[in-house]
Parts: sequence; structure tokens; C-alpha cells
Amino acid sequence: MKKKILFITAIAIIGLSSCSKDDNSSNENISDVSTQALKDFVNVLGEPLYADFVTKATALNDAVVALVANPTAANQTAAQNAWVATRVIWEQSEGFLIGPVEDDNYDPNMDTWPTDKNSIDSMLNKNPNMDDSFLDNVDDALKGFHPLEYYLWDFKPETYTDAQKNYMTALAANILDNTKALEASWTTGGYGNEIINAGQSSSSFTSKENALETIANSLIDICSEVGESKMPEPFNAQDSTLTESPYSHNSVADFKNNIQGAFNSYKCSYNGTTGKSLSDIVQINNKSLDNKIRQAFTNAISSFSALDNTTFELAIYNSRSAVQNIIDQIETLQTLLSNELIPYVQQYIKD
Amino acid sequence: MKKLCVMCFICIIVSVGIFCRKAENFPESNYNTQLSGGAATTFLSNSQSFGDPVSGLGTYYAYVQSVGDNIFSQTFVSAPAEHFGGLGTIYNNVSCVSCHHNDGKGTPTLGDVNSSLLTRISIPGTDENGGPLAAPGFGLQLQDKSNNGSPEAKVTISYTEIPFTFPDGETASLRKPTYTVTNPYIALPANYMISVRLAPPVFGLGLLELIPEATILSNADPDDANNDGISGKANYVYNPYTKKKELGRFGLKANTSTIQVQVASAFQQDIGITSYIFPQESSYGQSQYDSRDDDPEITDSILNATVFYSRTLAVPARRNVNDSICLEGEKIFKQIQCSSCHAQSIRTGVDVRLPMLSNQLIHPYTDLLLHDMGDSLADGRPDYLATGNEWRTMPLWGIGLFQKVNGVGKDFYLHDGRARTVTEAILWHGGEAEKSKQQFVHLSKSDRTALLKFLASL
Repeated sequence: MKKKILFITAIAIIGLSSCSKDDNSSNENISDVSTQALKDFVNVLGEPLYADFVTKATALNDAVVALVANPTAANQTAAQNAWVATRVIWEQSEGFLIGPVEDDNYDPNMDTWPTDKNSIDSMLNKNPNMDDSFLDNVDDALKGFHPLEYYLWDFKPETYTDAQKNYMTALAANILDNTKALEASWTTGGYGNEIINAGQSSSSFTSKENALETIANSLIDICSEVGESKMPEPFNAQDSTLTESPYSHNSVADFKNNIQGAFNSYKCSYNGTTGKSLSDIVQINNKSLDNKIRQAFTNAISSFSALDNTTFELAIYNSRSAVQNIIDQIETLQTLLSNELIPYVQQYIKD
Repeated sequence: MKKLCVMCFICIIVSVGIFCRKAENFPESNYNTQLSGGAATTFLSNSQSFGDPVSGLGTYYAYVQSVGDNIFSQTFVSAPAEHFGGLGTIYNNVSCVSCHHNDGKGTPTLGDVNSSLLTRISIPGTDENGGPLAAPGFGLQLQDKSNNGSPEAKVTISYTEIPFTFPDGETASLRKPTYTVTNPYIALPANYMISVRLAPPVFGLGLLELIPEATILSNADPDDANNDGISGKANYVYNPYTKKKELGRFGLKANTSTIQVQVASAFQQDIGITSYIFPQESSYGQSQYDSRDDDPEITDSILNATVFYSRTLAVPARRNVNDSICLEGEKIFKQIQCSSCHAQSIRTGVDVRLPMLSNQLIHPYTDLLLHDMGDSLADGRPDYLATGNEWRTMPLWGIGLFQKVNGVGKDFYLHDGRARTVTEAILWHGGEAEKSKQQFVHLSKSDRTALLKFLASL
């Protein structure tokens, strides 16, 4: 009997000591993976995405210039498509609203809602020949994606006035200016290095944990924005006019790309390239949590497919259970990230 | 009978025991020093750390909070509009968040898209409630934007750099602002006075509102009876909703008594949105007035939700509380009497609806009182009982996160954001704080570093 107890004790001790050995090695491993995850976040996701944003905004600018020069239905459709393509990148970039995009107000500069139609009219009366730099200092509701959306969808191309043409040209150029400045803020402006050098004196991030927790929190923030604000506001009020991309009816794609952008950030994946990520860090000590988070992302993103053949404006009246399901899936994801990912990051990333 | 006696005896012992426990104070040293806001503390330490709701709100209150959150970041547009109309006709910015960047302080510029400074104006004398006297044609604030005619005026800033050298050779530079009012839409009155102020952070306000008036007054020493060179004076201000004079707690000169009036006044004066507290457009009686019959422009419940949002933002927890240098810095903070005005610990009063705010030991680092800060910081514009030299002690909680919340190199300090570092902010202190500042200046480099590290942990 005594022998048995000794034997059990021995096994227990071995078990415990091997556990602690594992912990040590995984801590070292976590440190290395964290370093790589921060590098990849910049080199695989952040900078390539912002570079794409410039490319798409350049195409949008070209399309608007072509439309203004030759206001045909075909050119308007081409400009609409370019607008939608640019929105994909922008909405995905909102999966990590950290750094210059937030500090320097790129979001309100480019994506303010609603559109101030009265002030646009009076501005066009006073400044019919404006250019893009003129827009730098006008109120947020007079520039960015939504006023351009308004003119691309709600007007027949042959009815554009000269002032409206100048305004559309200025709007597209101003969006392009913003995307270029945003891209540069990560590369030459050094925000990419801030992230990569987290924990060193040259970075404002006090530790790698601090930087990774910031990224993790930005996933929660976008879930909150979509799941607690952008979707429920029109849905609860049953008022389609509260929808954010009302002229193009692009809101479903906007929301889905927001969550897709957050998933891209979690697994550090962009345009077919994948790097080390928060997901890899979680896998080291808690594979099941990583699986749960990936599944929650997949569930939230795939739940949008119920709205494939409708618009958000119609869905809030006609597909209420599908919309409610999306909101619920995003809430589940957000709760999981708040209650399990953040504590994991705080517990295991030690430098 | 014996049994009854024993029972009674036991009951007495038990109840005495209970009373004893009740009367006992939980020693302050047993509190977690990280918890700057008591139960209303958040452990976020990133750019969103000023915008986290207190926990434990429950479904209904959390919903109201989220409605307020959305309104706080909502851009308003000119009337008439399907949604969120009513901007202006004269205004300083288009949303709460465009000045209170991430619920914090913004950028010390005037009249730009992301400007967070506003300019108060008045003429000598007081109104019927003892408040500043409105400048005819301009009111009490210069709105530097308009969507219906001319802005009231523009205000420009020019800075002069004043070099400063510590006794040990370290240098700093203080930028002294000069504000000039230009392009007034009508002639400015003679002897007008202006005060330029930066939007302050909005977290922790519900806790400050709950501090009992008696507690605040117990720190006041308007005639400096204890002869320590530091007075501390309460401001009493008019509340247009209760129509009473009340203790001022909010605003850079403590010229507002409640969060409700603070929020409603910001809506009306800064954005041009009328509410049940201020149902009249700020442009009333001026050429920019729109004569629209659409006031109040936000419903009562929308205003109340925004007030509730501002009341229920948690205070960020301190970091590095056990760091030996921080602890040394905290000692110095007390030794050189920073804590005489930046009072470390205060207990809030009771609000049974919001237990996380109620009866909490908090560490706001303010006494909410007015102090003479010297001529260099003076605006020369009295505001109720506050003289032109007096300012309300700014809470220091969260000060170590300004750079996170506003961006690297975009952290600004003091009432008009003139200071670019905490060191500059300290060096601007004068008046009642002159002695403490001199002691700071004469600290060894390592002691100064420790003090700054302590402040960065708040």
C-alpha cells in the first residue's frame, strides 16, 4: 500500500515537474513568437494592406476623373465599382484601428456619417472651383467616402453640374491623399517600427505584451462598433435611413469586411500570405481557445451569407432573425475575445 | 428563563460585535493602490483606456451607456436633416469626440477640423447670478465656425518659446501663447476678456460628482488660516436647471455644478445643439440665428443618455505601483506638497443606483477647489468666484496615459494645452504652487525622474 502511495507521489512529482518544464520552454517560445508576430503584423498585414489601400484609392481617383471628363452611365458604374473595391480595404483595415489612423483622425476624415447635404450645397455655391486641399479644412461630414457615394449613386451622370464635378474630383483626390499619408505614417513615419520595437526605448509600447494587447483590444473594438452600434441602431429603430452606406446599399459588405479584417489581424493573414500571429501565441498554451476563437470568427463571418441576396436596408425589416443572428454571433465573438483572449495575453506574454 | 437570559446575552454580544465592526475603518493601506477609481476602475492601458464603461451596470444601464457612447461619437449635420440635424448655426466642432479625442484631451488648435480649444468671452461685471457678463453679440463663447453666415470670430495662437535651465544644467522650453481674436462678424465690445480652454478628459466624472460637498469644503482654506501658502476656494455657480447656486465641480474654473449642465452646455455652445436644459440656440438674437422652430434639437432621452455615458466612464488603473522608483516619486510628490492641492484620496458619497460609484475610495489627485496659479497661467477673466488667476485643480488620474490616448507626441497639458510635457506643466505652476515648483526645480535629477515616473504611473 505504502509502495502504491510512493508510486503515485512519484508520478505526481514527475508530472508536476514536467509541467513546469513545459511552462518554461513555452514561455521562451511565446517570447520568440511574440517578437515574430509583431514583425509580421507590420510586414505581412499592416503595411501591405495600407499599400493596397493606396492602389485602390488611385484606381477610384482615376475612375472619378474619367467619369467627370466623360459622364456616361458606363463610367459611373466603373467609378461605383472602384468605390466598392476601395471600401473593402478600408473596412478591413478597421479590424485594427490603432496608431496613426486613430491618432490623426483618418477615420472621421474619410468615413463620417451622415452626409451634410445642406452644407454641401452651400459650399458648392460659394466654392464651385474647389480642389482637394480645400477639403482638408472643411467639416468631416462634407468629405470622405459618403459624400462621394452620394454623387456616384444618387445622381444621373448627365446631370452633374460643373461644381459637383469639381467636388467629386476633389473628394476622390482627398481620399487618395489620406491613403497615401496613412501608408507613409507606418513606413517612413515609423509606426511600423513602433510595433516591431515594442518594449524597447524607441517605441511607445512599453512591452511586447502591451503592443499585442493593443492589437487584441482593437479586435474587440471593431466587434463592438459593428455588433453594438452600426448594426443594432437601424435594426432596433427599424429605420433603414440610419444605415451607414445608404446610397450604395453596401452596408452588409462593410460590416462583413470589418469582422474579416479583425480575423485577418488575429491570424495575421492578408492576400494569401500568413505570418506569426496572436493565433499562434494562443495555440502555445491553449489550443482549444484558439480553436474557439477561430470558430467564433468563422461563425460570425459566415452568418452574413444569409443576407447575400438582400441589402441591410431591407434586411432590417424582412430578415430580422438573420440580422439578429449576425449580431448575436458578433457578440459571442466579442465576449470570447474580452473574457479569454485578453486574459491569455496578459497571463502568458511576459515581456 | 435562564435560556432566555443566555439568548439575550448572546444577542447583545453579537450585535455589539456587529456594531464594532461597522464603526471600524478599513485601513487605507489595505486598499489596492492600482484602483484609482475604486470599483469604477478599468484595467485598459491603451488608447481606449479613457472610454471604458464602469463594470456592473446591468443590461438596462449598459444599454443607456451604449446609446450615450454612440451619441458622443456622432457627427451632427446642419438642419433640416433626417438624422442628427441641428449643427450650429454657430459652433466650434461637429461632435463630442472631435474635441474629446478618445474621451481624452485633444489638440490645442482653434478652428480646425480636429481642434479641441474653445474661447470663452465676457466683459467686466457679473450677470444676475454672479456669473460672467456676456459680450453683446457674442455671448459667453466665441463660436469660430458657422454653417449659416459668418463665424463669430476666429482666434489665432502664436507661441513664444521661453528657455528654462534647471540648477543642474538640464534645459526645458516653455511656449507662451498669445491669443488674438480676428475677423469678428461685428465689432467686439471694448474691454472684452477671453479665456482659451482645452477639452478635458471625460472619464471618472460620476465619481467626482458624488464627492460630498462637505468633503470638498473640508479642504478649503480660502483665507489660508493654516498659513501654508495654499488657500483653496470653492466656486459657487448657477445651475439653470435647478435654478439654484451650487458648488462648482466641473470645468477648468469649476464653473459648472453637474455633469448634466456640463454636457447640455457643451451641446449648445460647442455644437449648437439645443436640449431641454438649454432650449435656445446660442445664436439667438444674432444675425446667424436660423429662426427654425426645431428646438430642442435632441430629445430629453438622448441628452440624458449622453449625460449617463459621461457619468459612467471608468478610471484607468495605475501601472507600476510597486516599482521602487515610483514609490520614491510618490514620497517626493507629498514632500514637496504637490498633494496639498492634488489631493490623493477622497471617498465618494452614496448612490444606491450605481454601487460601483458609491462609497468608493478614489485617487483623483484633485481637491476640486480653486487656486491662484500665478500670473503666467492667468486668463484674467473671472468666472463666478474664480478670479482671473484662479483655476480648479486638474485631476491627475490618467495623466500617464495621455500619450496612449492622444498619440505619441500629441500629449498636451494644462488648461490650454500649452505644455508639451509634464515637466513643462510643472514649470508653469506659480502663485500658490510657486513654492512646490521651486522645490521641484531644485530636486536632484534622479528625484525629478522619480517624481515624473510616479506621475506617469497615474
